[in-house]
This record gives sequence, structure tokens and C-alpha cells, in this order.
Amino acid sequence: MTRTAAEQRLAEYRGDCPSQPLTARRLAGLLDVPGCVRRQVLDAIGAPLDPLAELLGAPPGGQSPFAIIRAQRFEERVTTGDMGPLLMLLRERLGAPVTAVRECDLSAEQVRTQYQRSDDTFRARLSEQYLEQMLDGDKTAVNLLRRPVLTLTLGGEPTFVEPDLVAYTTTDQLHPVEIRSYPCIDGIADPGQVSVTAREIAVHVIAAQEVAHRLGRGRERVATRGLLALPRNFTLDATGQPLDVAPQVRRLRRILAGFPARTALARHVPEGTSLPAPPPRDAPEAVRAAAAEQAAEALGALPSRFGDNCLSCGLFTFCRNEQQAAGAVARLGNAASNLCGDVSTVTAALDLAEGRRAPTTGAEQAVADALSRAATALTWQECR
Amino acid sequence: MSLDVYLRLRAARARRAQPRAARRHVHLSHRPLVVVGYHLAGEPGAPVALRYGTRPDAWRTLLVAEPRDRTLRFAQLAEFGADLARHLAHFANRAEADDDDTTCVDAPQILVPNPATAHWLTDLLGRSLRFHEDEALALTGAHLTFFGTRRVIPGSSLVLAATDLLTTHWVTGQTPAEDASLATVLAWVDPPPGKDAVEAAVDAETLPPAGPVSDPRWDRRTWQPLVGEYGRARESGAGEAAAVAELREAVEAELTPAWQGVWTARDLVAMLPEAAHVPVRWHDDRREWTRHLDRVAAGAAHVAIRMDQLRSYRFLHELEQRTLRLARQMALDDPLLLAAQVAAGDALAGEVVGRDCTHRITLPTGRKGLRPLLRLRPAIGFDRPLGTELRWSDNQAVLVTVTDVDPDGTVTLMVVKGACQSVARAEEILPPPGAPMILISLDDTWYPDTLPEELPWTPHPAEVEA
Amino acid sequence: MSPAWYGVAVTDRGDVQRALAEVAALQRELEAAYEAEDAGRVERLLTELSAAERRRNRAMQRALASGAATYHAALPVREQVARVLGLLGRPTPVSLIRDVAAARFGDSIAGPRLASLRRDEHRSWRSARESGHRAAGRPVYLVPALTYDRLAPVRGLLALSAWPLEVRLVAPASYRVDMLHIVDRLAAELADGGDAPWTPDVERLLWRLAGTVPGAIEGSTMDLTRVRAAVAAELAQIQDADAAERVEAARRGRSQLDEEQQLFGARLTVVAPGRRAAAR
Repeated sequence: MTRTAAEQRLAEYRGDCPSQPLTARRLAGLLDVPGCVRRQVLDAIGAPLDPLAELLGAPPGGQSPFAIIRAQRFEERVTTGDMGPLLMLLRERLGAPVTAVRECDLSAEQVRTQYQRSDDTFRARLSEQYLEQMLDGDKTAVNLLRRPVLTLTLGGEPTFVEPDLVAYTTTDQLHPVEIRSYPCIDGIADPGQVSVTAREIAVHVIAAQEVAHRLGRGRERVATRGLLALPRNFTLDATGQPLDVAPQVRRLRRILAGFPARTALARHVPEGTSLPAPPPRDAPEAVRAAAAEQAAEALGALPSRFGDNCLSCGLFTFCRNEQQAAGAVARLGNAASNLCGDVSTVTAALDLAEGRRAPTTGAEQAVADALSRAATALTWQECR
Repeated sequence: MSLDVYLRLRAARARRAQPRAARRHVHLSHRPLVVVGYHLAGEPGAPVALRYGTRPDAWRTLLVAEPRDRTLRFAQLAEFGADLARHLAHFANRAEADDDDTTCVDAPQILVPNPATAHWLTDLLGRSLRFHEDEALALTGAHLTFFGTRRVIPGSSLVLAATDLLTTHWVTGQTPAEDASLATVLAWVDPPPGKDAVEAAVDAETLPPAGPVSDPRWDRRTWQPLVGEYGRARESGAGEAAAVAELREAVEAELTPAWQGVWTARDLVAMLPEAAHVPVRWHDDRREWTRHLDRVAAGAAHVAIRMDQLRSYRFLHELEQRTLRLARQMALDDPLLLAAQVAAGDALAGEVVGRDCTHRITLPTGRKGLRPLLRLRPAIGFDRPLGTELRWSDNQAVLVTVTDVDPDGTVTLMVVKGACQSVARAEEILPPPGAPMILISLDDTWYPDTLPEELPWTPHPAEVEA
Repeated sequence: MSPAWYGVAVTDRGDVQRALAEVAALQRELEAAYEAEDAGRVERLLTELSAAERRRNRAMQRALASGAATYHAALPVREQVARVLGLLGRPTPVSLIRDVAAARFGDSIAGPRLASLRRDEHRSWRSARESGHRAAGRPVYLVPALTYDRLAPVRGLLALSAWPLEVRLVAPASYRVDMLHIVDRLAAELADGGDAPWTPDVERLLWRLAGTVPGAIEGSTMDLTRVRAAVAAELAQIQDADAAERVEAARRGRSQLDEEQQLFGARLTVVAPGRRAAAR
């Protein structure tokens, strides 16, 4: 398929559905859903997952307003004025010298006030200029760059990500810094949440490394060792946890590199279906129902790959219900999928297990062996 | 884990959870303290409400009307602490002092909906209170922290999470990740009449979350506006009681499914017969509880366990070992769990096809020793090497080794312990031909009946940090 | 808990807490006496409990009522802000202005009021100039701090028009330099203030800010001399380079911009950093 034909097919499929830039969180989520074409197509066209999912009946998501307020308060606490708490952490945890106090704020609000425009493309350009100065070891370079915009390519298309901060504290490396508001209690933060953040930091590192590479400076100028700023215990005072995200960077690079080209993805996209524009929540029932039907048809036409980690994807309920209705083994999780291999339905697997069907391939034989052991052990026990 | 997958497939076909265990592997107290609650999103130190009680039809709900107000918060936590202390006082009776056993006759048990709530209550809230300047609050923190340290010990029943209770004893037709939701697991294990588990689970997804975090949409639509109302009422001095009443009504409605769910889970598990080793493990819990009371009496309950690298490595290693050992002990108690071991190839199940109770071998000393032989036709292929040691599940004193495997699969076992005194005893003890027999492989991972006095991470007085 | 939260400054918090604790303690004793079936003690405790509850009710009512700020004259918001800036002497982040206003002067400044302040000040300055009567203008205006390279307004940072351009311009290191000066000013204020009613609140604030200065806080008590010495030490390392940048930028600014632009910022076309600004 030619490039133009592929773009056309993807654009037709996107239909009236709006496109939005992918966030670091969504990119990091690629680690949860490896090889899922349905997600890959949606990511390639930038379709918003939550509105589509809600349209299809998933419980509405979103964050609690209390969590949002607390996150905002902590971020403000830590980044207002001279970003003093962050400076302190950089000194304590990353060994920054006392003279490393040059700061620049590239957040949308600040850039809009100073330049009267704040689109991502412009901020990305500004960010690259500052990063170049930092990488040059320029005397006028900043040490702490707040909310730069970095570019990352996915399947050949550029996408913007916005780290909280990038720090330039030693003579030769840039370090990522992220601010989160879940607590760090007695020096330990919730490992589940930290690992999610580590993956997002890895996205930022990869993006910064791409910038360094584009500027001819070498990816190794961006360190995988960064800082996670968290509230200490039950207060809003900042404490920090240094994180090395090298393993996450490696895994994500493989996933990003393996992300199919748009021409390859377009082959999976059927003609004649397209995504609807998700109607507002208060739209008439009939409008929402029609849109839901259209979305279900369009999404259902894309192959998916259901597994244990799908819970974190916005489309979870839709895909799960689809698997349930099809009586698929995958609906039961990775352990079942891995054991049953190519035997994809519950009925087929149980028929092999309970001897109602003879295995016809080597793979089926293996599944039959494993499951019939279990069946025999169970009946033997029950008959004792 | 092929039996686990097989059961999950059966659950999917039957549209109902399948039993994973035939015995109850936890101790259930007659007077558990059930606790359900919410904290403010992102702020585990800010409880919103706590509902607790020892009976399903009688509870107390504490409400922090403005969760960010520390005065209100600690006042409510003080109430909880007082109630907790009163409850714990019922478990201070020691045994009669015979053979040095001054262990408390009973220990308290806390039931919560899920591990996240247990972590919040016993680790985080405990931590937030433990160093409080108010002595009563600090003691509450010490109690909660004690429960937190016991919670992670495999085989302990001092703190039980309803989701774990259910998934230990049943297999659902969901992904393991979905099993973290109490409402859906209950739907699979005990669907309401007229509905199958799949339909019931879909319904259950619309219920409020079991905690400790509330539904963000409820926060946005219901809770936040009511908190605002309360703030305004308090400021203007009018309508405060009404605002509190509205908050209370809203939160009671959200917490009720979790409350009922915990009691239902407990009732479901209570219907299973108790596993043989449960009282033994509960004795360990009672002993640790007694030690905790001793520390409280000595004023040394406010200990902070410093987990340096060595300690945490040994702690994790010990936990792994105990988890393995517990699995073996549970399998011995429970035919279904034993079946899982058989399916996994860790146990040998079959029919006795031959027995020689007069067989003797020459011992290194030169004398002859009685070593009866058993020949077993396995129900499922068993491919452990010769010399593997096995223990008989029905009589754990009997140890055998695998001495031969015929081409047709029949296994020859030589009894080395437990039936070697005399031919007559051997004939009494060992199963006759035609009888079924299950033997479990013996290795180092053996869960002892009594635990060592000191665990590797128990703090010494010199290391105590107040 | 900041008083600004409820919009009411609550005093006598200690009294309310004590009254609540007293009631709770008596309730526990009452329950114990009841369980012990000690009728005489129960009677006595009931009387004591009623009295304690009345005390609690009065304490709460007093505490809430005393917060009503409606009857004493409060300064207009701009004066409250100007007073804080006058105290601190350097461009200050808006959130810190609010914190100092609350801690030092007991003023609670709401966010939305501050948001419109900058626009209002600029309009007020313009109309004063256009009316031709210099005397009609205010002596001092609240102005935004300006970036050193393009003299564009910095969002979230306020200054006083009376300050020289060097002080109102911020270079990359100025945020830190100015914060250190502010910490020093607050420490000096505490030292001069002795045992004033605002001392605990300002101390709490200073504790938070000084925590970011190496060597300023050691142990659990605050030593003002040590704080000021630590601040001076860090300033010694970064101040001079920063001052040089600000002086150079001010010189450029004076030569290129008119009075209005030097106060409220240049309205520039979009330029990349580092290049000369094309001022309008």
C-alpha cells in the first residue's frame, strides 16, 4: 500500500473523530498492550480513548477533583518562584552545585504571557533552543527548564510530550525531573505508582534523547537517572527519590521502534467503517446510541490482543465484553492464554481437556496434555 | 498451574466461580472487627469516613466532614482509637499458666474489603498516628502498625482481606486483575438468584468502589459539593448539622455495598470445614498478639523497624520461603489443593497395585532393616527422578523414596520411616492394594508447626527508634 | 491550616480543641461508669458532661464569631499587596505575596482579586497619564517583573514601580537571588519583631522557605543568625553574576523602551530568545 493510500485509509477511518496528541502516559501504556493492532491504529490516528470508551458503556473515568487540587497545590508549592524545593532536591539527590540556579519556565501560561502565542510547535522550537544551549555548556544556559515541549516519533509521525522539568546540573548530562503528588512515606513511595511514573519518565528521556540526537549532540547526553519529587509523609513538603529508568527506556525503545509503520497499520483498517465524533454527554439518547453503534462496528473490525494488563487501557470494558461474548480463552487472562496457545475458545479447550475431542496438531496435543492432567487430577480427587 | 487454568475455564463455562479449595484455610474469629472506609483521593492521611463494627447489623460510621481539617480529622481518629482500644481489651485474657504457655486465649481479627484498604489502615494510618504527640493516638498507631506487620506474614489470620479470602477458595472466570474488585468477585462466587455470574458481575461494576478510594465521579458530583456546603455552613454558623447529616447520608450509601460484601465473603468462607493446620497457625498469631500486648505494657510499642538492605533482603527471602511452605501445608490439609499439586507434578497420586510389608534391606551397620515396598499405578504421569523423597498425605509420618519406575509407569516406593517397626504395624498402617494414595514431594520448603522465637526482622531494644 | 480557607480568621483554636477533648474524655468516663454499674458516679459525670458541653458550645461560637472581619476597616487589595512588596523589596511570586500577607499582616487575599490586579493597575496608570494631571496618579503602582532579555512581563511575579529597572528585571538566576533576599528580609523582620502576635506564623513561613538554603536550618529550632549567614553564603556565590546581567539588561531597556514599556513590559512581536528584541 502506498503512503498516500495508507494516509487516506487512516483518515477515512478516523472520520469525524477528533485527533489529539498522545501524552507520555498513553505512550508509556504501550508497554501494557504490546502487539494490539486496535490500540496501534487508534494511537497512530490520535483518537481519544476515554470518550470512545464512555460512549460504548464503560464507566466514566477521570480523576477525583480532590486529587487534582492536591496535585496542583503540590506542583505550585514546588515550582513557584525560584523552585526552591526542587533546587534543594537537585543539590541533595543529584549533586547539583550551589551555583546551578538559572531557571526558565516554558509552560504554556508563561510562554503565552511573554510571546503572545503558546502552541506546542512554537514551544517545541523554544525548548530545542534552550536545550541546545544547555548541551553546549553555554554560560548563559539554564540549569532548570520547566515544562519544555519535546518531540517524539511514533510510526514515523511526530508527537509532542511535555515533561515537568529537565535539569542540567552536572557538566555534561541532562536529567529528567518529574513531580507527582502521591506521598513518599518514610522514604518509600507506593511501588505501583512509582513504576507507572518511571515509565512516563522513560518516555521523556527518549524524547529528550531524540532532541539531543537531532542537534548532533548524542543521545548519551541525556541521562536515564532522574528525580521524582513527591510530598514527604503526610505534608506538602517536597522530598525526592532518584530513579534510574534505563530498563524502562530500553523496553519502551523496543516497543516504539517496533511500532508498525502507517502503511502496515492501514492494511488492518477495513474500508467502509469509520469512528464517530463522540457526542457530548447530554446529547439525546438516540444520537448517543447511533454513535455507539458506529464506534462498536469500527473498533470491532480491528483485531485486538486481550491480556492481563488491558485493565489500564480506556477500551478495557469494550474489549473484555467482546472476548466474553466470543467465549475466548484470552478473556481469562495471560496464564490461560499462554497455556492454551492456539486453542482460542473455552469450549475447544475444555473439549480437549475432557477428551471429547482429539487433538489434531502438535500444539493442540500439548494443550490437551496439560489440561487433561488437571482434569484427571481433579476427578481422581473427587472420586476418592 | 494447569489446574488453576482448568478451573478458570470451567468457571467460564459454568458462568459461576469454581471451588479452588475444599477447606477453609484461615481462622475466622467469632467477633471480627470489620472496617471499611474511604480516604481523600491522593491523600491517605486524610480519611473521609470509617465504618466499623463487630456485627453486620451494628456499626459506627465516623465522618470527617472536611477531610483536610486536621482538628476534625484527629478528633474522629481519636474516637476510632477509643473504640479500637475498647475492642482490643476483650482479647487480653491469658491462658492458664500451665507449661509456660501464657499466650492470650484469643486474638483480635480485622476484616477489610481488599488489600489496599488493609495497607491504608494498618500501614499508612498506623504510621500517621504512631508518632503523634497525643498518647492515645500514638497507641492507636502502634496497634495498627502491629496489625500491619502481621498482615504480610503468610498464614497469618489477624488481618484478612475479603477479596483474598474469596480468591483463595474459589476461581472466577475473570482476569486476575479484575479479581481485585470485591463486588465482581462476589458476583462470581455468589451470584444473586436468577442471574449468572457474568450478568451479576456487569451489575456489580456499577456499585460504588469498596475502597479505600471513592469513585472520582461521586467525588465530583456528590461529595465535593456537600463538603463545600458544610464549609459554608460552618463559616456562617447556620445549618451545620444539616450539612453534616447530608454528608453522612451520602457516604453511608457509598460504603454499604463494601460493608455487606465483607460480611458476605466471611459467611461464604465460614461454610467450608476448617483445615487441620489452621489452629496451629492461629496459635502463632495469638502468640504474636500476646507479645505485642507485652510491648505495649512495657511502653515499647512505638518501635520503628529500620529496614536496612540486609534486613530487607532477609525479610523478602523469609517471606518467599514461608509462602512456599504454607502452600505445602495447605495442600496437605485440602484435597483440592492437593489435586493442584498432583496436576503440577509436585505430588504423586495413584492406586496401590502391590505391597510387600516384609521387605528388608541391609543397613550400613550390617543389620537388616524393615523397609516395606509399595507399588503404585499413577493416575497421572509422574516423572521425578529415582531417590525422590515423598510424604504420604494421609499419614504424614510415613516417608518413602522412589526406587523404581516400570516402563508401563508403575512406581515402586520404599517406605523409610513411619511404618518400619514391624510387619504387623506396617500392615496396619500402609494402604492395601486397590486403595488410592497421594504422596507429596518432600523438600526443604517445609512449613514448621512452630515458628522460631525470633524472626530475622524483630527489632532488638538497642535498635528501637521511638 | 490557613485561615484564608474558610474566609474567616479563626482565633481561640486552642480553646475549642481543649473543650472538645474535655467532652470526649468525660463521655468515655461516663461509659466506663455505666458499664461498671456505678450509679453515683454516673450521676456526677452526667452533670459534669452537661457543663463541659455548654463550655464547648460557647467556645465554638466565640471562635467562629471572632473571625468576622466585616466591622474593622481592611485595606484594599492593592494596598495589601503593596505593603508586602514594600516589606520584601524584591519581585515576589504571587502565592508568596498571599502567604506573607496572611502571616505578617493577617490579610487574606483571594486569588481572583489578584488576577485582575495587573490589568487594573496598567489601566489606572494610563488614565492617570492621559488625564494630564501627574498629581492625580498614585505614587506607586503594582507592576509585573520583566524578563531580562526581552523585557516581557513575567507571569506570576509582581514588583513595585518605584524600584529601579535593575531590580524589576529578572535574569535566569534572579528568581533564586531574589528569594534569598526575601528570606533574609523575613528573618530580619522576625528579629526586629521580637515576640509579636504574628511571630509564630511568620516563623512557620520562614521555616519552609529557609529549608531550601543549605546550612540554614539545623535541628528543630530556628536560629535567625544562622539563617541569615547561610543566605549570605549562597548569595555570595551567585549574586554578582546575576547583578551584572540585570544591569546590562536595564541599560538596554532604558535605551530602547519608553516609560510605559519600562514599567509594564514591551509588547513585542514573536522573536526567539537570545536575539535582540524588536520593540514596538
